[in-house]
Amino acid sequence: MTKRRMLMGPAGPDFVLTAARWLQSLGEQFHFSHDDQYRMDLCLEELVTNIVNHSDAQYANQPIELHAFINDHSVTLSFVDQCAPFDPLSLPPPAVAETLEEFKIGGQGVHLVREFSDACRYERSDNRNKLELEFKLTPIEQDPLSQRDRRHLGDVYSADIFRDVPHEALETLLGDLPIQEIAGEMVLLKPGDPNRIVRVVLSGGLKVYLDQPGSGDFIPVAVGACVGEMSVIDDRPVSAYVVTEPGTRMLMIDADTFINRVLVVPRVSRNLMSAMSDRMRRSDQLTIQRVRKLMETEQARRELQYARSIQESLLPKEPLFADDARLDCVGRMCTAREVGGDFYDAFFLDARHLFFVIADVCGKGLPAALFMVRAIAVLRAQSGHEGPRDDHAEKLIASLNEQLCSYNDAQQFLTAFCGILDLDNLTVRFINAGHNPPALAIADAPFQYLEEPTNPIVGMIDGLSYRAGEVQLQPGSVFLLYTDGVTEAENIDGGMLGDDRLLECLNAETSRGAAHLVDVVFKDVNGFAGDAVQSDDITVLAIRCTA
Amino acid sequence: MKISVDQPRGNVSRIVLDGRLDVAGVQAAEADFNAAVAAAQNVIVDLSKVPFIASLGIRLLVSGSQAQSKKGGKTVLMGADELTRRILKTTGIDQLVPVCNSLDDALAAI
Repeated sequence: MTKRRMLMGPAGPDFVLTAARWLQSLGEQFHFSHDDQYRMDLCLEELVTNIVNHSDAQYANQPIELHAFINDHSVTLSFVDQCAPFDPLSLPPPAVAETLEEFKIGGQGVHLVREFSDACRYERSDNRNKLELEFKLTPIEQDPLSQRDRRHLGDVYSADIFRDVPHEALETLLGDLPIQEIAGEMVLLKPGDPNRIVRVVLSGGLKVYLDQPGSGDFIPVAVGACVGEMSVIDDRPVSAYVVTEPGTRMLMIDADTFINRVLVVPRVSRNLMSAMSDRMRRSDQLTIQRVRKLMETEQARRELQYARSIQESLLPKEPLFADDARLDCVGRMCTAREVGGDFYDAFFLDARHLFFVIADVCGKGLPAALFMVRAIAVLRAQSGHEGPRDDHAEKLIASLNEQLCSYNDAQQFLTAFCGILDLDNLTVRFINAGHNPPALAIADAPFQYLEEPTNPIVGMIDGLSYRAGEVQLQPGSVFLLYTDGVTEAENIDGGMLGDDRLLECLNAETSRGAAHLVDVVFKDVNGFAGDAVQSDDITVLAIRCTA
Repeated sequence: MKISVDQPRGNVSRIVLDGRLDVAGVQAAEADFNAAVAAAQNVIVDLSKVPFIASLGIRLLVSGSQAQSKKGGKTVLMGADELTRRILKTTGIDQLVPVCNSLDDALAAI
């Protein structure tokens, strides 16, 4: 009976040593004579080195397969690699050197192989180089079931699937089955692969991944366990990734032998079913965990969506003050994430005084949104029921600052620009607390930035007082307030929109309707950013005095 | 792979290699072997404790002999077992470097 052994590993310098050791252990197991061992050793060393040296970068880590077919009178060694087509036997024998100086070592390897093997054949098929060497063995007496056979089969008997199975039932059956050794971590099977081999792990181990290999979640297959029984039994393709640990040895039971000869041995079926139900339980556990994680993520996403709609409803809807003929006012916010940290607001303090504000909380997402909600609530609560005094704006911001400085362990802050527009005389008293200067067009004049005076940000240092500025408007004047999500919008090259471009964009428009200007700014930002991901909240508030 | 050196005669060094001359063995022995050759006037390489020699091992012996030849020294191989001799014959090296059985023969060949 021919015994079959196999070694597979990535083509690399380590493999030469691994292959030599593998052949060594075969020699110990099958008691090759010193000379036979030497010859096979030599040929193996030469050929594997050859293959490894010829596998350039593109073939690095492609597996090399070594097959040994051992019977009483001969051993056939087969070398299979997936590198570029190359027939070593086609190399001409090296030139005979006349002197020592002339001697070149190249080509000697294959020459030795031809000399020391008893037959050699090359074939290229399946995109693989296949070289087969035959060695006639000096006969050695071996009895069919010697001590060493039993020792070797010991590994197999201790497999889970053979627990409590009488040894005699297995000896003849399994003694001749091939054993495969894998050097290195390799993907043995992937989903969709057909599989007609049951592999029993004799040493090392396997990892079964439901997702991509290396994903972290795997089912371990330890010594004694097997893989492939399911696809052999139901004849369906493999459904997971099976990855070997380096140095794993497996007994390979082909489908026919497994179904017709192994499964019928008493107790094997029962052991198999018990192993499979155990695996099913573990796989179920993994699946439940994955579904749970998915549900939690889904839940979190839905909650954020809900938070977004709440935040949107906090801001005044556009257009603001639609019924007021004196004003044309539109605001719009577009958050970078589900929820954002910008806000704007505008409301009447009394019949003639309009309070307006735009603000930008540091950061974005949920933390910024929470601070934003707090700020907007404080502002609205504070904005008086009595008519405003001269320093109403300063007092408002100072008070907002005090409120936000307390209960602020996270040290959040915001920038803001606010103002009070007197619709009778068209004066605006404003406060810039660390915010981008708004663009202002007085009557038909072009837009310019309203730069002075400036003040510190809100929410960091308490006890601050804020200085207000004052500006006189004319009918038709437009205030265009924005947050830095506009001027600092980025495109894929990393360039920023910039203050100049915003002014140019506004001044290019002849129509100064609030809605139109807001549209134009958003269009310009989107046009500039292109495919780049929105990195900050973008907010614009346009206020035009019509009368 | 172990290397030891002795002087059986005034101008002759004997380098004794102990271990397999496979890929790993050659890597381990290379530096010391080449150093021993460089330091010697004439060299006898004792292969009686080398159970296996592959083409990389052959290359080591040949390059050592070539280095010796360049500086006017001689190299002799001794103690090769039957298969090793066959390898030396197949590669044609036995025509370029004397292969002897015993130390006396080797000394005589120098």
